[in-house]
This record gives sequence, structure tokens and C-alpha cells, in this order.
Amino acid sequence: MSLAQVVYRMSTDADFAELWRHNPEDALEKKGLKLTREELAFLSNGLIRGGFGSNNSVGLSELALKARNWM
Amino acid sequence: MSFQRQSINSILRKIEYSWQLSGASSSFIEVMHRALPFFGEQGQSEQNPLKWSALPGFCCQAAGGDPRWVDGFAAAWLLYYVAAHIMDKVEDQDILESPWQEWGSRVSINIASGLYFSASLLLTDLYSQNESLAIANEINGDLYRAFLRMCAGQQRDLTQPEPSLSDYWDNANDKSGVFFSMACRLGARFATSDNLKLQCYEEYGRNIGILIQILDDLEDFQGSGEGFGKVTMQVIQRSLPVIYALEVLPDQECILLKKELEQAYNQQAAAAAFKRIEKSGASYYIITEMERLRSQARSSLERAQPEQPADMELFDLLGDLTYQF
Repeated sequence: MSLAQVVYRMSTDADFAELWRHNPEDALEKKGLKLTREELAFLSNGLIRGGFGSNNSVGLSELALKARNWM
Repeated sequence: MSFQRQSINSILRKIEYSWQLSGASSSFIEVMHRALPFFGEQGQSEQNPLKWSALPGFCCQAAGGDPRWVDGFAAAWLLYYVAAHIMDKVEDQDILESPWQEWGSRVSINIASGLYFSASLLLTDLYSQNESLAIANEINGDLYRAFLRMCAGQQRDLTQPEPSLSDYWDNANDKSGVFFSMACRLGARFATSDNLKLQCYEEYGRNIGILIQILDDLEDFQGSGEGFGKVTMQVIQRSLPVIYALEVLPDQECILLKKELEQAYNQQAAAAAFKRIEKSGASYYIITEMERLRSQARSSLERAQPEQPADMELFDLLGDLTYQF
């Protein structure tokens, strides 16, 4: 399963997201998903940067605004 | 004045000088000059892509050379960048801002052509300078081969009816990654023939180019979440958030999303599409991929073992591009 599909699963499956919060590797194994070690590290960092599951989560609108300001 | 600002000013002077000697009419030179300011006015370079024209000079210095050796090449690269940007706007029917609105697509294409030939004229100078004479053929050959690859990437991007996520990454690499990889590899080539180092600079540039392509895609999304801004739906449908969503959503949701995008002239449909894309986790996917590209660029640069002071400039450019996202 690709990184994209794991992100989708994370965004739509609350049970998987909760398991991930405690132990990402276990969460992947329990759901029969696979990521390389590097992908797992990038996704973990990406979720932290994006504020996944917090009140400060970064949405597309915010990303777009930052991109417009940057460009 | 910062090192970066000095480099950019030197590059701009090179362009001015080349135009003065070109024999082109002063009115056409003035028009080409007006095409440049969208890359920023003096003093605003911190916030706009004009700063990327300093990449070849930084890579040359980082590889042990003098950044002034590459001013002509960097000036040509900047003009190619501007020309390609204009062509992109014309292809996307996105000529709404001044001065493009005033010129329209026909005049814009002519200006882009003028910029392409100005850039090619600057490259002929490589044959008359001691520091570049021996590598002039190699630089020209590598650059034109890269341009052909970029055109092929753009052709695929314009004609693929429903690009997959894998197609998107291939196209982003060929359209933007290759262009920036040439800025860095060929900039360093003025200073070294060490192929391992050249590959590292090439990879650094490639990752930066793909990051810029992602930002270009994001820019098209309306901040309010109520629509998709001023660009056409064809452009939105080829953007990373939409391609990601269509890749991961179940079939039934894909059908609904496509319908909503087709009707996105209607604000309600546009908002529904935006919400569906958002719910699919598009922003987390994009941030994660940006994280991957940033990490790869950083590793490549570290492997190149860049020299001071350009090493800091190259790390800073990457940080500026990614840390705020």
C-alpha cells in the first residue's frame, strides 16, 4: 500500500489514527499496511507539521495561502 | 548588500548589457524588461523567485569556484525561467494580471520568444570566456536536452486525460525538477568535473524544483475554500490535491468529486469538491511529500560537502522554501 493510501486511511479511519498515535509500526501491522522506514519517518514528521488530530491542523486553504504568499 | 542580492544584481546587469548590444529595438527591450518585474522589484527579492537565479552562482562557489564565472549562464537560466512561466500562463489561459492582461496571449508569446532568444544569445558568450570555453558545448548540450525533456513533460501534462499520482510525480520532475537540477549541476560544473559532486548538486536542484511545482499547484487553490480561484478547471484537475484525492478515494466518491469539479463554476459544487479533497487527507499527504523532498535535498547537499559561504546560502534557500509549510 502506498504512502498516499496510508494517509487516506489515517484521515478516514479513526481507529487506525488512534492506533498510530500510540505506536505507528504496530498500527500499520494491525491493519496489514506497509511503509518503508523512511516513509514512516516522513509521514510521522508530516503529521506533526500538519498538526494532525489537533486544533491547529493545517488545511488546504492555509497551505494555499502560504504558497501564494511565498510565490 | 547581501551576497544573494549582489549575485542577482550582477545577473540583471548582464541581461541589460546583452540587450543593449543585441540590436533589438528599444521599445521591444522595454517590453521584455517589463516582463521581468513579476519576479520582484529591487529590495523585494527575499520573497520572490528572482532569488533562484542565484542558484548557479551559489552552486559554483560551493563547488570551489568563483560565482561571477556563471553570471552569464545564470542570466540565461533566469530568462528561460521567465519565458517558460509566460508560456505556462498562456497554456493555462491564466493571463489575468497586469501586464499580461494588457498584452494578451499573442503578444505574450512573442515576448516569451524574445526572452528565449535573449537567453540563447547569452549562452553564446560561454565560447568567449576563458573559464567556460572548455565546457561551453557540454553546458549547451545538457541544457537543451533538459529543455526537450521539459517540453515532453509539459506535453504529457497537457494531454493526459486523467493523470495518476505516479504520472504527476513524473511530470513534476520533468517540468520543474529537471530545470532546477540543471541550474545547480551546471552552476557547479563551472568549478568541478567531479561527477559524484555534480550528481549531488543535480539532486539538490531537482528536489527544489519539484517543491516549487507543488507550491505552484497549491497557489491555484482559493484560500476561502469556496472555490478554486481564477484558473480554469483543467488546471485544477491536474493539480496535486485533486490527483491525490482521485487516487485514494473509493470509486463512488471519485465519481462525485469529478461531477463537483465539472460544476465548480457553481460555488456550492466548488465548496463540496474542496471539502471532499480536504477530507481525503490531501494536506497531510502534501506536507509529508514536502518533508520527503526537503530531506532528500538536504542529504544531497550534505553529500556534496559544499564550501563556505555558499553552503549556508544553499541550506537557507531550502529552509526558506520548506520550513514555513
